[in-house]
Amino acid sequence: MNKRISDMMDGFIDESVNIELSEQASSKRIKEAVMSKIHNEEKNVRSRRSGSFARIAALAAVFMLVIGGGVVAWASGGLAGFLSLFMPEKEVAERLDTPTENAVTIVQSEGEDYGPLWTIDEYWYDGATLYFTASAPQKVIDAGNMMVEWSDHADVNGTDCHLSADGCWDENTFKYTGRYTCHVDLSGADTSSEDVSLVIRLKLNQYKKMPVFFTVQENNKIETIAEQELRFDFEKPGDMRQVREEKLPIDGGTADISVTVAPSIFNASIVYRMNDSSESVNEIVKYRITDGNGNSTMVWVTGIVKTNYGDDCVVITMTNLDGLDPYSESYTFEPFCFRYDSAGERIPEAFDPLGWGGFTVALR
Amino acid sequence: MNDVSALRALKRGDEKALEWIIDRYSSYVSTIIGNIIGAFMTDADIEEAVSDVFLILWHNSEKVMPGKLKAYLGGLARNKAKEKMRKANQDIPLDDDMILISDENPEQDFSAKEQARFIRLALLKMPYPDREIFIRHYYYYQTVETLSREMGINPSTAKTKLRRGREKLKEVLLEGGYGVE
Repeated sequence: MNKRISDMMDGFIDESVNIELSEQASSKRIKEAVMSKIHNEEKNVRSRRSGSFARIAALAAVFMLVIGGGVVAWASGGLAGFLSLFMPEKEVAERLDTPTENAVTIVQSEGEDYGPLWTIDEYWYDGATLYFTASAPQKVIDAGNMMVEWSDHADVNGTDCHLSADGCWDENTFKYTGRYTCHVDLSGADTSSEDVSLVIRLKLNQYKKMPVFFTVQENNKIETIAEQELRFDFEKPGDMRQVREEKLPIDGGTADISVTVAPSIFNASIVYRMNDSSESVNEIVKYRITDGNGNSTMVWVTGIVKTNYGDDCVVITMTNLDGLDPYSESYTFEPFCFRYDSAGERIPEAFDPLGWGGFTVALR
Repeated sequence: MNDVSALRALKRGDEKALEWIIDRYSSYVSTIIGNIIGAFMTDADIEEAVSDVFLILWHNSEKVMPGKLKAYLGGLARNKAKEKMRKANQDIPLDDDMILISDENPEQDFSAKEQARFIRLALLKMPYPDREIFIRHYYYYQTVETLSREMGINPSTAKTKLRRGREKLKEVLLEGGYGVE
C-alpha cells in the first residue's frame, strides 16, 4: 500500500517546533465569526429547549430521529401524536387538518385499478413544510406481498421538492403496515397562491417474497404492477402569508427577499446584491425587525447559507414572534453588527446599526 | 491570563477566555492552515477554517489536557485544512511524501495509532536538526525553501536530512515487520 508520510503523522502531536507565524487571518474577524456561530448555536438550542417548532436544518435531524418510531407515533395518536413529540400540543391541535376529501387526480399506468395508492389521512402545513400521513389501500396491505413505493421527489405547484416518507414497516414484526408518515420541504416552492398542489409519483410493487426492511433478498422477484401520479390539493392556512423572491431596492444595491409569516413562524431569507463589493453580509449578526404597529424585536441571524447560484443568503428563523404582530402589513429589517472599542475589541452585548442593508417588506 | 487559566475558564464556558485564546493562537492556527491550503484557496477559506478550529475547541474544551492547548490546536488546524483539501478534491503536494509499504501480512494493525507510534520511534532515532526538519516538512507542511529559511540552513542540506529522516522511518517500519520499498 502507498502511504503518505504526512498522513502517517495525523496521530502525532508536536510540542517541540516553533514555526514562524504569518499574519494570514485577522484575529478580530475570527473572533467575530466564532462568537456569531456560538451565539447562533446557543439561540437554536434555546428555541429547541423551549419546545417550539424549529423548522431549520435541525428539524430534519429531529424528524429522522423521530420518524424511526413513525409506526409507534401513528399507533399512539396519528400525526398529532407524532408532531407532539417535537412541537407544542396546542399548536398541533390548532393547525392539524383533515382533508374534507382527497382531491386526487390519478394518472394510472396499465394494470389492475387499485384506486389511489395513497389516501391522505391528516396533514399539518405551516407554509414551509407539509407533514401528512397516508395509507395504502387495504387490499394491498392484506395481500402480504405488495407494497407502495414512493418517489423521493414531489412536484409542488410546479417546483420539484424533496419528499421523505417512512413508517410503512412495523419495527417489531417487520410487517408492512401500509401507513406512511411523510414530510415535504416546500421552502423552494411557490406557495403564494391559496392552494398547494402536490403531485406524488407512486409505484405498486409485487414481490415473490416480501422484503424485510428494504433488504430485498436475492430470491425476490419484484414486479411493478401499477404506477400512479397522484395530485393532492392542500389548503393554505389563512393566517400564513408569504413574499417570495421579491427584489427590493436598498441603499447601494438591491436585495432578493423571501418572507413567511404565521403565528407560529417567522422566516426570512435575504440575498444582497450590493454595488460595493466590500460590503459583506458576514458583518451582519442581528436584525431589528419592526412591524407596522411599531412593535420590534432584535433577532440573531440564524445562518448564512449558499444559494444554488452561489450567492450568500442571510437566513432568519423565529418560532416565537417575540411580540411582533403576525398580521402586520409590513416588517422593517435593520441589520446590526458587533460594536468595537477604540482598541478594536468587541464590546459584549453591544451592537451598532450596520449602515446599509435595511429594507421594509410589505405583506398583503 | 495564561494557557492553563484560559483553558480552565474555557471549560466553564467563558467566552472571554475563548477570545483570549483566539488572540493568542489565531496566527499559529492560520499559519498551519495557510501552509496546507494557502496555495489553492482564498484568504476567506483560510479564515473560515481557522474559525472552525476555534469553534471545535469551544465544543471540545474538556478533551484538552492542561499544558497541551497549543499542540491540540496545531493538530486541529492540520486536520481541518486537510479535510478542506479532501472536500475540494485537491492533493497536497509535498516533496517525497509517498512511501510504499507491503501489506503481505494483512492481519497486522496499521491503524492511525500504530502509524503515529512508528513516527514517534523514527523521530527518536533522528538527531537534531533532522528531527525538526522532518516535523516542519511532514507535520507543518512547510516547503523545503521555507523551513531552510526559518532554520537558517541550506536547502540542499535540508533535502539530504529529509532523505535521512525517511530512511529512519523505513528502518523502524522494517523492524516492526513491515516490508518497505
